[in-house]
Amino acid sequence: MSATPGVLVLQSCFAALQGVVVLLCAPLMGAWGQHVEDYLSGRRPVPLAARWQQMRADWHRGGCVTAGPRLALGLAIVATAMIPLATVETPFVILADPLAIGLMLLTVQGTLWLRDAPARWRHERQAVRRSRSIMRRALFVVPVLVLASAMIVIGLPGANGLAGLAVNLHSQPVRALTGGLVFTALGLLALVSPLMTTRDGAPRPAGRDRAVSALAQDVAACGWAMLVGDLLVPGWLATWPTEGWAHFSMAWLTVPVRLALVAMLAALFRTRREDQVERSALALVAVGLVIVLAGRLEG
Amino acid sequence: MVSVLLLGALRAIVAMPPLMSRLRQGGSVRSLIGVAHFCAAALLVRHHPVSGEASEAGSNAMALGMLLSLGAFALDGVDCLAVMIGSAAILLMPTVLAPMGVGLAGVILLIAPGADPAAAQTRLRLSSLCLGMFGIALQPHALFSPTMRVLLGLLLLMGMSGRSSLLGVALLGSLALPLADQTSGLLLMIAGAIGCLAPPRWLAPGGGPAVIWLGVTVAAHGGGMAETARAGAEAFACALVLLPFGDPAAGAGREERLIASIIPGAAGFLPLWLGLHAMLGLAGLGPGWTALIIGASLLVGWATVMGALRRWQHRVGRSALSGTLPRLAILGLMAVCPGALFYLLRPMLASLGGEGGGAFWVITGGDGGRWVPALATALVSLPLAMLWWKPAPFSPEGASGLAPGVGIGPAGMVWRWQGMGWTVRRSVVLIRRAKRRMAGRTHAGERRVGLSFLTASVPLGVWLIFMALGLVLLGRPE
Repeated sequence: MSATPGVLVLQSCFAALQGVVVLLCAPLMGAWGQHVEDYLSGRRPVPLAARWQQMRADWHRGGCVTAGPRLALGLAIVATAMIPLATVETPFVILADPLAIGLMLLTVQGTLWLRDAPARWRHERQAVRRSRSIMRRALFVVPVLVLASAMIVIGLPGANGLAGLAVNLHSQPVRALTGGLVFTALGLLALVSPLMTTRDGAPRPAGRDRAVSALAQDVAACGWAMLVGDLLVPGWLATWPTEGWAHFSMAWLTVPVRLALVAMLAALFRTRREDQVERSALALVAVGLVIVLAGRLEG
Repeated sequence: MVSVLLLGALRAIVAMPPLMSRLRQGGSVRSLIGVAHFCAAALLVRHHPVSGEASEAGSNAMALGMLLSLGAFALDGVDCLAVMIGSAAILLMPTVLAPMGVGLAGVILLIAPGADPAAAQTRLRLSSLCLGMFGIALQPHALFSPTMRVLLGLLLLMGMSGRSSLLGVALLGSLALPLADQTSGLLLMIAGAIGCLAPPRWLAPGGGPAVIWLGVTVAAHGGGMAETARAGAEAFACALVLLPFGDPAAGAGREERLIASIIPGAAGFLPLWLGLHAMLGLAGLGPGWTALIIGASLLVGWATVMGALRRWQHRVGRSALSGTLPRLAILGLMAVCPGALFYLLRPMLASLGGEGGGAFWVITGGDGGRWVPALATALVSLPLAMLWWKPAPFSPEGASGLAPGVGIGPAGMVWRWQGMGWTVRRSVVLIRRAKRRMAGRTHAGERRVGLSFLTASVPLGVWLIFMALGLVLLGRPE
């Protein structure tokens, strides 16, 4: 679409709508993932609305918000604005590079972790060590994201990021890439699933600080889910509404279902042992790579 | 050669007194002084009578020390950047001899031994190398032959490694071969990959990827992919500029490390993005390159992670180094508008990667990717700006109400259809018990049990399902 002012305004409206949807859906998605995880591992599930209500209660309790959660929430919102959620027609999707998004989301989670870790180090050394190992393991997402970029370029030369992938796949289907990205996205999800949990080990003092931290964590988890969902089935993303109203509206309406599906898969990965998850992530990524390469050699 | 050096010395000496008189006025003339010092130092080293190894080293150090103590030019590796930019300002003047002189000075200082400790020596070589490279690259057609390019890579490696490393030896071997362009690019990429894998004391952090980007440039140039070569050259230039910032021993301040980090929107993300996309663009050269590119991209991703971790673990804190503002300005300029930097370095980029590019705000990777650094920086700096908002006043009620944090949600709230899953759950428990009985596993242990046994013990079935899903997508009718 040419960048006339009207188009730009409409695109900004889509971006704003996406922001609102993300901010509304993120806590619900986190609670849903936690619910599934509890259910699968035989614990008493947490009610779905509880996380929202907890945040609201924390916010009404007052108190000041420190720098870490503010920064984390802002960065998380920025990162989710860069990822296409339902349509590729937003002003920021030109920045939807998988590596860039992944690095930003890792920064968000690192900021949140850094805020908690030093205070907890004195009393709960074991828990901090464990969370640190989770953060370190999560850094291996970066090679996987690089690999995803490589697969996109190899399978579909000329595609620019996630938006280019969706648009080009729409006009020129590449089956090997579509199939291979399914596996890569699942491997990515297996790696980031420990980061998508809402269960933080440390009880924090109630107040706005905790509310903002929880919201930042949920928005970051939602960002991971959006990234994985876009890689999983790029065809879900709609282009300009005049090119298919049904597809456009369906893309928006099915957003909660897609996020819930990805959150459920992440919860499934979380119930497994860590080494198994890493092994399966490696295998999934390798299978995806093989499929893409096979398609490339065939073509 | 001597005449060239003498001319350089003359220029330096003529330029020095007015610059020295303005030394105390601040950082604006800093880079000019740096260049002048550098030329003079190189010439003093060159013209000192060589009586023996030790005396030469000693006098070298003495001369350098004397000159270095004159003021602003602390060769701590970070100032290398200022020297580069400053020398660009000088050397872009239409003279032919000045770049030659500075390039020769860089090479001479590179070869000359010094009596300083290893760290200072490394930084000295690094900065001399940047200057030398810059001087060479300013000459049009100097990089015409592939041998010159490999020689350039060799110089770079020697400059970056404090000691004679394996990489230098490997590249020396590669010099002996009759090289096609793509082959020399491949060799450089392999050398860079070895550099990525090498222990950090062998190579400056960020050095391995820089050599890989150089190899990508050479290979793309050889393959006739002008846009990819351009992107690779830009990545190489960015990596060279950032190289001193990646040195943890340089003691960069907090803001400096933040702007030089690999967070998107910061300056350190640019060489990574540009280089990766240039490397991915190489996939168009043929199927043989594809496997290599995948391996190299994985390696670069891993090296990036490790480098970021290492830089993070090296806690410097807020340093008291003077002259942070010019560095921050250059870094910020690079983060927001790298087109300006590329414009400054355009002779080098043109000789490395060919003409092209020229877009100021949107930079293009070699594979069709685009990136808008200014937009990314603006987006990322918005939450940073939020930090300066005045926070809400501290309220004692909020602080004193230390909630225990157990139990999410207010007490008494019941989700109404919570009980609907009991039938399912009963069957799940029955299955679980049966399975545990079958496995003879009676202890619960640390391991969580639940429905997860479905995925934990039947991974093959899960793989098959996923495989089927992928195959269904593959065989989907149009």
